[in-house]
Amino acid sequence: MARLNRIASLVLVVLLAAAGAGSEIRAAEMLNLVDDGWYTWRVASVSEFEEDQFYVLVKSGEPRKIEIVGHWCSDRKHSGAVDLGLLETDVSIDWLQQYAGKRSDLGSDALAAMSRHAGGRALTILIDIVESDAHMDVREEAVFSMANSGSEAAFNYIDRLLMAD
Amino acid sequence: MHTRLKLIFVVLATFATASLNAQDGNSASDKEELQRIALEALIHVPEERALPAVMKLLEGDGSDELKESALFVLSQMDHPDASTALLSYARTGSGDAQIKAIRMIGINGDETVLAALPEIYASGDDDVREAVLEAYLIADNVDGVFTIAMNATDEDDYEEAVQILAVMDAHEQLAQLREAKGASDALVQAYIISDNHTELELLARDSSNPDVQVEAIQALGVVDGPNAEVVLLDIYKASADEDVREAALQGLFIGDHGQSVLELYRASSNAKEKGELLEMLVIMDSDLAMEVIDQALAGDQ
Repeated sequence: MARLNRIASLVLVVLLAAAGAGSEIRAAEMLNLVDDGWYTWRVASVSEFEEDQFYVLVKSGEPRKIEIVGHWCSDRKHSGAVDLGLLETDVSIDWLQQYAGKRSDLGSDALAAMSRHAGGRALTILIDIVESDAHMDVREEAVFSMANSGSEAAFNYIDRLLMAD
Repeated sequence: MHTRLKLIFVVLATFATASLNAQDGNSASDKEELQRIALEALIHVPEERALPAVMKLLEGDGSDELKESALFVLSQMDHPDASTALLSYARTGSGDAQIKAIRMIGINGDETVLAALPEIYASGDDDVREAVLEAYLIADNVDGVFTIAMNATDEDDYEEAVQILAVMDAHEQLAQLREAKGASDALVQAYIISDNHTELELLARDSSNPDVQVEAIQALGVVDGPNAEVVLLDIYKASADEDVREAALQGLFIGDHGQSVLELYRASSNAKEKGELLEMLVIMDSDLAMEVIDQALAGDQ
């Protein structure tokens, strides 16, 4: 059964890739990472690098870990990872948002990954977490993710946060 | 200010006004906590970007705690402007900010900035001088502290520098100080802190300064090194000075060396002294005391 699901996921990826529309998966699609194993995708990056790549480990149907391949993060590659290709940032953000802000390692990973996305949406979500999450440690993680992102807009926000009176 | 941010602050302010005082307090502390977090996050931002933000905060009306955090962030930067800024605060800052800046120079560890500490020490008050010593301690700069100790003309300054050397386990420098400046209470305390039995023994046997000798003998009992019992016994037997003998006896008492006290008891022919030694054995709750008493009752002694 698991094998069938895995094949189905792969077929979905191939179909989506074949569907064209550039090579990006559209925002309307929601990632459905259910089979155990590693998955990977790329997004347009907020940093000086054009793209960032994420690896997600799924175990027992649940994501356990997110790794970022960028200029400062893990450069490990997981051979055999299901490659979802270049995703539209919204697709990636929608998936990460389910976990960002949870008080766990996965939550921290998701915040860090979220901060790497180009465009303003990820930053808006992070700012919302900084300003309204019930837990100060989660807010702190969000600020640190912004600082690590290398994004000018994120830095400007941190600067304003610093000078708040 | 960003419109969205402004709106959030307005909403927060309205909420705070309508809430209990305790909630006002939480809101204010949350804001400062976020500022502190933002400040610490700057460590992960390129220094040329972070530095102006830190400087702006230092020059603003933030709390002392926030400014302390800002100084810490400066100390973590490997940037000449950060070192210059720290030095500037260390030289011209006032109160706590100046003291913290001096300590942060120690954390930063930049040799060129550390080189300015003697000048700050020379022109500073007690708190500044103490902070300079702490900066040297943090930077593990023994030479800086040793130079201060060697040049100290004030007894308190000398004592503080010597104590820092002791904490740094600077045995060689402490020995040099003893040779250059002679025995002192400060050195005795330093040898206790650094657990230096050898130097304590030297001071305990040195009768050139009786007050210091007494201090050293008592300290020997406290530290209780491998030769302490033998040395204390020797000193007691060899000295005619009442204070020195008393200190040696106290040392044996503190070190719980009942066997040596018993030896002195048996060797003594002075009734008063024997009585004092026996009393000490009893206080030490030693089985040896019972042995002596039994022998006395049996007429052996």
